[in-house]
Amino acid sequence: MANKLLEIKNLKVYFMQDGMELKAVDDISYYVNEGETLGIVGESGCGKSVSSMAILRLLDSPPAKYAGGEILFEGKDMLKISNDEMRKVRGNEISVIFQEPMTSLNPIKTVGAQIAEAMILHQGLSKKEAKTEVISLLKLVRIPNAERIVDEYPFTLSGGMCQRCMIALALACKPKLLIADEPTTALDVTIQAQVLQLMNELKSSINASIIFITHDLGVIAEMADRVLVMYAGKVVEVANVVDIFEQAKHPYTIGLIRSRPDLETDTGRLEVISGNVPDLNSKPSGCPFHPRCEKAGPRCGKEFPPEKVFSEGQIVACWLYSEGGVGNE
Amino acid sequence: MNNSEYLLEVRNLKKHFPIKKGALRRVVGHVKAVDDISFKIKKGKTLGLVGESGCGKTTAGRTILKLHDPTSGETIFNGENVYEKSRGELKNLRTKMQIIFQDPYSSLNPRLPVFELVGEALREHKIVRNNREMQEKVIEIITKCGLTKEQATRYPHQFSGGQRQRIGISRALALNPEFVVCDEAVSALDVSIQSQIINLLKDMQDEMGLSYLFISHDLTVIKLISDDVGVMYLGQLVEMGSKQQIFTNPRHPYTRVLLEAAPHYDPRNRANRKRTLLEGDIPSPANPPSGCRFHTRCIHAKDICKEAVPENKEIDTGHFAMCHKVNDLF
Repeated sequence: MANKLLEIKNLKVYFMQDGMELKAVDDISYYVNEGETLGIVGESGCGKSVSSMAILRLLDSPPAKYAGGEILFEGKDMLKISNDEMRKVRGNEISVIFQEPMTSLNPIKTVGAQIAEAMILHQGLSKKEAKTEVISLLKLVRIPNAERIVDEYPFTLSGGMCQRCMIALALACKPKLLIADEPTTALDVTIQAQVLQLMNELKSSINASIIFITHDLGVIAEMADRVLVMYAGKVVEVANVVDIFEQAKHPYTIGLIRSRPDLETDTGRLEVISGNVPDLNSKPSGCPFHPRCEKAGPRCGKEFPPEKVFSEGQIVACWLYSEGGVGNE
Repeated sequence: MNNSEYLLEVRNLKKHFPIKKGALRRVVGHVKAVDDISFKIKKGKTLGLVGESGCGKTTAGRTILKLHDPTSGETIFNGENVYEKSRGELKNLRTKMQIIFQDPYSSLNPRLPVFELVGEALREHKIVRNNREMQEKVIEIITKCGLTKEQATRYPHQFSGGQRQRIGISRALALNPEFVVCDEAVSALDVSIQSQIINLLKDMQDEMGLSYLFISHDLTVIKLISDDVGVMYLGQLVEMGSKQQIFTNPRHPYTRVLLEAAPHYDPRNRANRKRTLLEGDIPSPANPPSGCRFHTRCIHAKDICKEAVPENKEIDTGHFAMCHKVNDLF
């Protein structure tokens, strides 16, 4: 039995806006095992980024409000520890790679100084020691001329190079958990392929766990061991990556898989999920997917379904699989 | 009018942007965004243009519509050269040539309701005589595009991204065009919405007999919608052919790399997949490499690739590739 490195229980993150509570993350639970890559997939506004930014308390509060639940990292509740303790975790035990490499690096510091900062702070290295470490890290993420690039500013580097620097920065203190929030979405496909391969290699060499957030099912298929599907602040399905692609159970997951264009098959016409992705301030009641779901019944609009556990850790939240079904007309 | 099977033909099109420096804004060089490309689009068919950022695909689309002035070359639309038209003639021609933009958030005027956004052009081109006719026409087109009559009085911020793209499509199709440039038209949309919009574009093509130039960085989308495909790299069309030819028998090393780099939806076999990874980044189009522009990143590059620009060879009927080694490699 693998050990759980991170466990999130009944997490609720709300945003206060015009006196209204927007339930960005609405009572979700999941875990990440040691050495595992958990993929979180969902469309815009589904809460996939918010739920993982909450792990490091990176959301501005207000407007964000941690309205309930626990985030247990190695047994410690990240929502309860002091700011000082949190600083020791950030960038050290848990680090983040953001989507926009260009905007998430500090433009007025050299790449080397930014990476060294974390090492000096968390590991007590001297400046000189840190610089040697940084250069070997840059080589690890395959930056050519690392000795020169270490003294360059981010604007002189391309998007792919910046993202490598971000990865080097995230790995600087050998974290146990790496949160990658759409790390390749802003990159071209050929560069994306390089970065994904790099992340896979590094993962096996440092034995970290990864939370990989993306809207792209193709990237999920390449990277994830287990997949969490989110919709409008809720987790609707969890399963290992092969099951998600071969025997998804939730109507939303099935719709997502079917509506994706595929390079191998020539479908001609795509199947679609009708309707639109809901706004947080007008989220449907009950199961938030019910207005777009072909199989929805009266019960779906009233109450969010309980989790139904299938074999091998496949968990689905849908009335179709509960006793009584979706209800009668 | 022309009776050929081609609606649009682009011949040796070039678009170079000057790089200016210093207080006197002296021209110190040129970004060769589009550098000598030629292709044809059949009536009622779609040409997909694929490539990575900075390859010139967007500039190509815009220059064809004369939204940029071309540096040289010709665009022949229905037998007429677009670049030889006077202002007035061009305005009339634009009713036949439209564009759908990538970002449905910034390409719609936030102060105008759907009526105005879609109807503006109808009034401007005097296709409708009065407001009542305009309303009827707008409602006809937006309902075709999947919006409702009631939504016509709303403003862009009241719509989601997918719905906004439907407004953008309605606006482009309102004038009953023959040719539409779709510039990354689905790239900013969520996966489940992307497929709706692709289907809509295909339906409208069937119904109105439209020809599309579909520009995208996403091969999966290109494969779905295109009849013919052109692959761009640093301002040049490095490979061109039917969808079948490009996807089942790619001959240019860059096309191969692009196809292999795209993520596959097959987690079971991901460990065994063969994939060539490119080294390094795309060179700057201001200073493209000598010879074959791809040689700096190509694993098959030989000395000749550095020295001589490869000619555009026809490998099969309608299948072209710009590579010295095209007959030896695959």
